[in-house]
Amino acid sequence: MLSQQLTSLQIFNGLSDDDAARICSVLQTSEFKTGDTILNEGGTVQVLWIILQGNCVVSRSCDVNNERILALLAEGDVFGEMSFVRTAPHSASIKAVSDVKACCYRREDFLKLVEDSPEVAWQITSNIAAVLAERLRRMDTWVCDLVDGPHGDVHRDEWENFRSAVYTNWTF
Amino acid sequence: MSAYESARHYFETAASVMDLSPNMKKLLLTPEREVKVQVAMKMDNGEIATFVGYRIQHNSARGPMKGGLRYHSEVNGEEVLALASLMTWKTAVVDIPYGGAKGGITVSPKALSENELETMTRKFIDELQDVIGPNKDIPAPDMGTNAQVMAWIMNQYEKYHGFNPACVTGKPLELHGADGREEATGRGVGLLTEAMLQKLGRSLTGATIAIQGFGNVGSFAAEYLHKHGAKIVAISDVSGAKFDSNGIDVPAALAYARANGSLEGFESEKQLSNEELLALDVDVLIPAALGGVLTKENAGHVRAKFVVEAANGPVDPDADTILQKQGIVVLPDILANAGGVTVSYFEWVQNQQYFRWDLERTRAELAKTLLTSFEKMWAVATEKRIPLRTAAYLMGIGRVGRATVLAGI
Repeated sequence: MLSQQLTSLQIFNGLSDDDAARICSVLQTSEFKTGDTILNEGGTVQVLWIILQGNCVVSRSCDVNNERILALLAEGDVFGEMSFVRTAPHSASIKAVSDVKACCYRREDFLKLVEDSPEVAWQITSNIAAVLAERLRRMDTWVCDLVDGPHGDVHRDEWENFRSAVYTNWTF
Repeated sequence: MSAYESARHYFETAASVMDLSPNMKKLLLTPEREVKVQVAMKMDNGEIATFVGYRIQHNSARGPMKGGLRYHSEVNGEEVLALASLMTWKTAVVDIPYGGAKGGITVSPKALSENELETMTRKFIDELQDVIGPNKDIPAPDMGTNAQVMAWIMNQYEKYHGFNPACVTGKPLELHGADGREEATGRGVGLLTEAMLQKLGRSLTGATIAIQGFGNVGSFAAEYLHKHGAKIVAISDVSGAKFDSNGIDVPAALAYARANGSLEGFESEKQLSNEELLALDVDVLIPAALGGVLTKENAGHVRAKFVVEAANGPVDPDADTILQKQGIVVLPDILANAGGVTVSYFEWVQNQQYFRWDLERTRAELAKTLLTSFEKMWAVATEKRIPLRTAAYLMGIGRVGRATVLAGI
């Protein structure tokens, strides 16, 4: 991966060419076939993935329909950043929906960077925080929609129920 | 229990039978507009007096809003709202094309001179003239107000809007009033009492009746019932109750009360208290004075077989439950005293048409309107096995509900 490509990603934004090149040198590229699971919900591998080619879906198991698709990822998208900053089981699974080429940045390499060039590590950390903050904002909107959405239906039902009641049981 | 709590309770009872959702209940209970105004004036002695006036417009789904204006020392926003909502259901029960409203001023009208009463009324209308009107909200007489007050209201309203007799009802006959308006509420009580007795295989002839209150409602009810063969054994006013086991001479009592302003000093077999009147062993008890006279404390003492709510809310919900358990049939206020608003409607119709009905026509139309509603209410109560009051509320809420869904919100 080229250092310019790397700094065009939000997480590596603001890094000098030298620093970017240093990170690129430790990235490991992998290839996946359609249907392959790249990251398992509940898994604990601490790796940051960058999609170089192809598409992936983010999904989460749930009671209704067993699985819910949360997002579609494409070239240049990054995933795994949540477990990268905090050790915890993955909140979702990532599956390849086409042939995918991706590279990963391992946490051990990042911890080494923290020791060697804390200012670079700080830049990456603050970029990750920005990505997470954005996602949290989106999540807030979803939560509002979830809370309001079904209520809208209930209101429509409420009006229709009332209409049918006053025209059937309560017509004299 | 306050008038507001009672009204709310009766609405909730019907709403739960109808299984209304909380949001629909809120829609039907929330008033469309509440107006609260200052009525400040110079009294005859030069003193400055400041009163608070209300007009609460509850619901206009079925037409312009209609309801009385009350001058009373205990008028407050909560009570006015309760009475305004009662008007919404009442106009719907008798199926006249109106919504419900109520208003008033917190004042003791007896403490005012005629001149002060007129000034206060005109000041009040100066504040209200913009929100009332023949197609918006039409006031009428209530406690503490009369035809003269309505005449001042019409005149003051016309100063802003030109000739407009339909802006208020209960006016004097000389000023576009309707013949038969004054007697209407009492006459309606009489007509409905007769209809109810007939339903149960009885008739007015020989039926014993006690009437609490000898004002505009009680006196005309007594007159009608007496004329149609009932035995009025007790009548009362603030001075106390008069009892006669052979029946009160109602025409004499009417003449006495008109001449003396009260029943005080009217001769009878026995003098009772108002409380004792409520416990008399009669066929029909007609509370025609104030709200809240039958409560959980005294409802158990009632020995009548029927209670006709000629006043607004004389039986509170606790008393209502007790009477029901004792098998006493209660004819609810929203139909029992709807004769007044019905003839108010006829007055408004005549004003809008510039055409005058004679008394016979008014009486015939009144009987038709009230008895049609009574038959319907009776059929609903029988079919659904519910009390008459709940049946009346179901009719009222159903009609307002259909108008609401047809028009949309």
